[in-house]
Amino acid sequence: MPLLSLIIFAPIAITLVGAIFSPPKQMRLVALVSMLVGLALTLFAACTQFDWSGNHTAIVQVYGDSAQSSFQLRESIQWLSDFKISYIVGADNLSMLMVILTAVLGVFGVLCSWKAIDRREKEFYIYLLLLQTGIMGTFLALDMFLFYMFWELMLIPLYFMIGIWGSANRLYATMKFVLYTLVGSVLMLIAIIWMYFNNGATVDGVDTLTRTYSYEVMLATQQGSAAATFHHALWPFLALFLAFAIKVPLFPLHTWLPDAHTEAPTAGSVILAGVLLKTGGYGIIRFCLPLFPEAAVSFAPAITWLAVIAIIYGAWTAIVQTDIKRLVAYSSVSHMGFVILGIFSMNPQGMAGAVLQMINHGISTSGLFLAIGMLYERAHTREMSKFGGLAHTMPVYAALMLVMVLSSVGLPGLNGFLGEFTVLLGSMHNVPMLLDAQNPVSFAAYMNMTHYTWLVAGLATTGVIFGAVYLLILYQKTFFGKPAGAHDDHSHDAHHGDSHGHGGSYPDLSIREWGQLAVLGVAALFIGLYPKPVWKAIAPATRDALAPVATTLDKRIAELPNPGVKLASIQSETRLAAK
Amino acid sequence: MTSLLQPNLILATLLFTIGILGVMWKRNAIALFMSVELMLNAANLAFVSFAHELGIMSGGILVLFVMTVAAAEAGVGLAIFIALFRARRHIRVDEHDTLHG
Amino acid sequence: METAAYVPAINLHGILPFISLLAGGMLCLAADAMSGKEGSRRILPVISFVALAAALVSFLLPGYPTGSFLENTFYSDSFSRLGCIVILVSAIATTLMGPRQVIRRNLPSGEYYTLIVFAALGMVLLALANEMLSAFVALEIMSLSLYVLTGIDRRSGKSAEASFKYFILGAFASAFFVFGSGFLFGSTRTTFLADAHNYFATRGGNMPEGAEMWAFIAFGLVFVGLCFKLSLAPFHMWAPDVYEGANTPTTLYIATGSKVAAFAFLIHFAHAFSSWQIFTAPVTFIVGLIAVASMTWGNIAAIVQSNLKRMLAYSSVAQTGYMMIAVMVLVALPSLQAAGNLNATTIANDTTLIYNAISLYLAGYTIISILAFGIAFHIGGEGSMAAYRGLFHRKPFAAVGMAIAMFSLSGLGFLPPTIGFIGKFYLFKEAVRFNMTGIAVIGILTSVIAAFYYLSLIVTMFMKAPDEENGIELAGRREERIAGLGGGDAIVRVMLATATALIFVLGLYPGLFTGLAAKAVTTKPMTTAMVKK
Repeated sequence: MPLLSLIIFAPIAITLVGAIFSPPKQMRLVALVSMLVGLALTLFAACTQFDWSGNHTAIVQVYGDSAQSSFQLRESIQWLSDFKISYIVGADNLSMLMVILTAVLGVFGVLCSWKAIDRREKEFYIYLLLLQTGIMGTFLALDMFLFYMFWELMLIPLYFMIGIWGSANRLYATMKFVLYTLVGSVLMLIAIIWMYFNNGATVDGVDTLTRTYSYEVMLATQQGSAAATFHHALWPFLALFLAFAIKVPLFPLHTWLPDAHTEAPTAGSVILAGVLLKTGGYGIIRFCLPLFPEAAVSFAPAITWLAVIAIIYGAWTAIVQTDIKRLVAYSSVSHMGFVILGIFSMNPQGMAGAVLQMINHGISTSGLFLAIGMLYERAHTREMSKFGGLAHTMPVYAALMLVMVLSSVGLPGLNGFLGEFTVLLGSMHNVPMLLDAQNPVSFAAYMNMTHYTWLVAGLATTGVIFGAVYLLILYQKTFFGKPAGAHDDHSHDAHHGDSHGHGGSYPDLSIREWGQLAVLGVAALFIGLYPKPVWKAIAPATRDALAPVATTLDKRIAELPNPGVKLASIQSETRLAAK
Repeated sequence: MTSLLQPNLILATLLFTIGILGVMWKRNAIALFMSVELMLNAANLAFVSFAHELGIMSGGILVLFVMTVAAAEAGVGLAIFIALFRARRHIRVDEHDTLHG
Repeated sequence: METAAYVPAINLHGILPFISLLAGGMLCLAADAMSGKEGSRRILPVISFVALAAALVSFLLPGYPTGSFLENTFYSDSFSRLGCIVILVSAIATTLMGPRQVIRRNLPSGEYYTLIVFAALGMVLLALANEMLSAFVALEIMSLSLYVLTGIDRRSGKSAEASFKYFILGAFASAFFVFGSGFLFGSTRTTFLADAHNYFATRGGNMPEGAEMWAFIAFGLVFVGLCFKLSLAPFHMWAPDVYEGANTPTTLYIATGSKVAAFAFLIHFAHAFSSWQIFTAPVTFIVGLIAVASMTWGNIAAIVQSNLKRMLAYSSVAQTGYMMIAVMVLVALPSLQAAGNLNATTIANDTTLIYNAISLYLAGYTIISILAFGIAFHIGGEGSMAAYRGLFHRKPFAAVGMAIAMFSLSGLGFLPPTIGFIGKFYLFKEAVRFNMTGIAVIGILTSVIAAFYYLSLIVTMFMKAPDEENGIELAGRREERIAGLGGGDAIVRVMLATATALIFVLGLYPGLFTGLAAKAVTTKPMTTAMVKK
């Protein structure tokens, strides 16, 4: 059974067929069924068909080139044979985790639109399901061209979702979102074409090239070989990294995110924060590191600094926001900074922490956006000053929101803590930076800062602290104190005469609403208290992603002029990585 | 016998340049058209001089074709001018600014 | 000369398209003279359609000559054959829109259809021409017909003005073309491009005094002339005005047919010079410069346009710029060969690949243009943006079609891939293959600028409320109602649906199109001997 293709295409197919027959008002039901089918297929694949041990390998054939592949549930069909492009999908632990996250949040994407979307429903749900298709495909595609196709497919539906159902400033936001993402993705296309023509190895000055778009074949050709042609390629790495960094988004490429989040309808924000940003992190782990280890190691210190800036900048900017959605958007910048920080630490802790942080961010930030969406449906405003004392009037909401906020803050016992803590641990042993410090002409050596990885970790930790500040400010302002409507009655009623009387007294959550938050809350608690299964699932992904980099790091260490005392510790780190 | 090719080509280039400048600077449609004709004739001159110098007939024949085509062009062009004149009551180019090219 | 009488070798199949187009045009004239206004309105579209279709079929039939035919005057390679097919498709689309356009603006149908067919004749001749004089005559047949088609709406001042501007700049370009031909004749002693190719190959290294400079001047002048026809920056200034002023079917015709023809000839022309060693480096640079200028300027200028047709004009400047990337690769190929990177067999393969890339791009551009201009025509309003506000609410199918056209033009790769995307992908792929990554990056970044205005149109159509008071939409329709038009509508709809389908089908199976040429090559390789027989 082509399980992965079903996961990608079955939901949209059901929706499209349903759209023909269902009346507009019932479209949400069609969409819900589609998403549930997708979720069921995903869970079926993940629980019964998928081998989580990470020991799966097989020899695969792609257009006559064979390669060893660790991907499971593979499907391979020749597609555009004129261009040697094929339709290949497959999953490993990393993609499977992301697919599960996507499938779950997809359902919530429909549920949170249940009442909020009251015009052009058919279109909306078709776009939502198309978006889902694009994201699933991005996580599962194993052909670079196919990956690019799905990557672009993510763009258009969200463009329409923000542009049609967004709030006041939506046209500006949606245009900004598309153009930012497009710059990255078109450069990625050029890089992919370059990779097609240059995949191979240089042996005795002669290039033996295997022209292919297949990721598996590329990986097999490039992996760990110093003669590999991608080895000294800097700009293709940068082009790919730029595309992914814009999606993540990494400072200073993040400016589209607050606008897009603020203007998007709730479902758009949830999918955007929950999974769309993860495609960036996924891309870096999947493509940038294994295919371009040399370039990745070279750029790692600079990228790490950008990540640290993103963490601190995102947190500081979040503190001064008055718009709740904008605040959470900036918190995303900060939290996704941890992902980049972890990945480019290039050691097992950092990488595992980064993957977990992606999942955590998917849970907690989507939860926050869901919760804010529920509030917005009631109050039609996102201004923090318009709320207050909600804890009295909406106790269930307050309780569930608290779980989400604390999960996002990183309270021990909830999921957020584990991810951030592990990333910080990893960043203390940021291998490329330790190497950089050994380089006599580097900035670190000039400053005589042998321990500057600790500086990085320390600065990133302040991000956690500021994170607590802005999230608790948010919670305090909206849920405690006296109802803001008390002094703001007049203007509020003038704007929303049809809404629910005085500010702050809104009806509490319905089952549909608290159900969504409860599921996410339980997930947050589960990961926080019993992370072992998740760690086990992440471990093979970490290993696969770091193996090529470890070879490069080993080589770099061997090339060091005067291996000092620090060297031993670096080496132990890389050994860990290679394991 | 000294070759006339060089001076002829210089003359042709000169005529062609005058034509280009005319198209760029003249503001009367008829003058524009005359400039274009000048350019075509510069080309004819070049053809004839080359044909004479190289002793190949085809260059000369080509000139006949160019002249014929230029005549057809004149026919179409003048018809267009008349249509424009009917629509606008004048043919001064700088005032044709409905289309803001 | 031992033979008594010189019998020119005429390949009948080779000239079949010319004959059918010529006969079709003549028949149109005759039929118009013999039937009344209503009669000719009914019968002329049929005649011109049949003539164009017959020409199209004769290109598609297996056994169309490849290589030189008709005494080396014409040269048929995969690119020019595919180009001719595209030209005829665009001409057929123009004809199909004819009945409605003729009634809408009360146009003289005799002239209208005749000129479409004659312009197609000129285009086909130009696309196949391999000799400067024939090319010039073909160019003029095409251009003169198009000048008149542009100005055929005598009630519209805009139309007359557009026609005038097109005429002056077109004649200006023709003069460059002829003057350049003169210098080519002077330096290589021939007007036949095949002979010029041989001349450069054998004597390129030691040309007589002055001839080298003349050859460069020749290329420069003819290139400038063709750049005008192709509306490449900085020779594009006529395009926006003509696109806006001409009636929409003619705009489509100018945007696609005339460009394909000029492009095909440009490739023949550049090929003649390709055997000249010192030529490649500077010309690669110049072509690259023109490509960059067109891509950037076209896309930037398109952003500020408030008229759809003007916007599409600037976008076509940019689209032609993208195609120049392929020309640049083509021009640079011999120098790569000289550098030892390629041998003769791969160079032939690569040339075919690049031909395929350009022809696919041209075909894609043409089909997308048929869709875009077709919808603009269907909606009326002469391209005014106001007619597109909230179009999705009034005419969802037209809006979706236009959106597909815009996405496809911008070359965004969304699933399933459209021909616009595959075309761009193919072009950039060829550029990257020959290490011209720099220009590919410039091209693709400018396509992001392009995405801005394409998406802006989608914003206008999908995300803004329809303007209640706009009467623009009705402008064309009112005249139709007065004229009592019913027919023609269905034909246009079918045409638009077909174009939409083709955008996706050729996007998924680009081989279907490029295979049209390959078939002709494999079925019957044509040699000179066979022609003589």
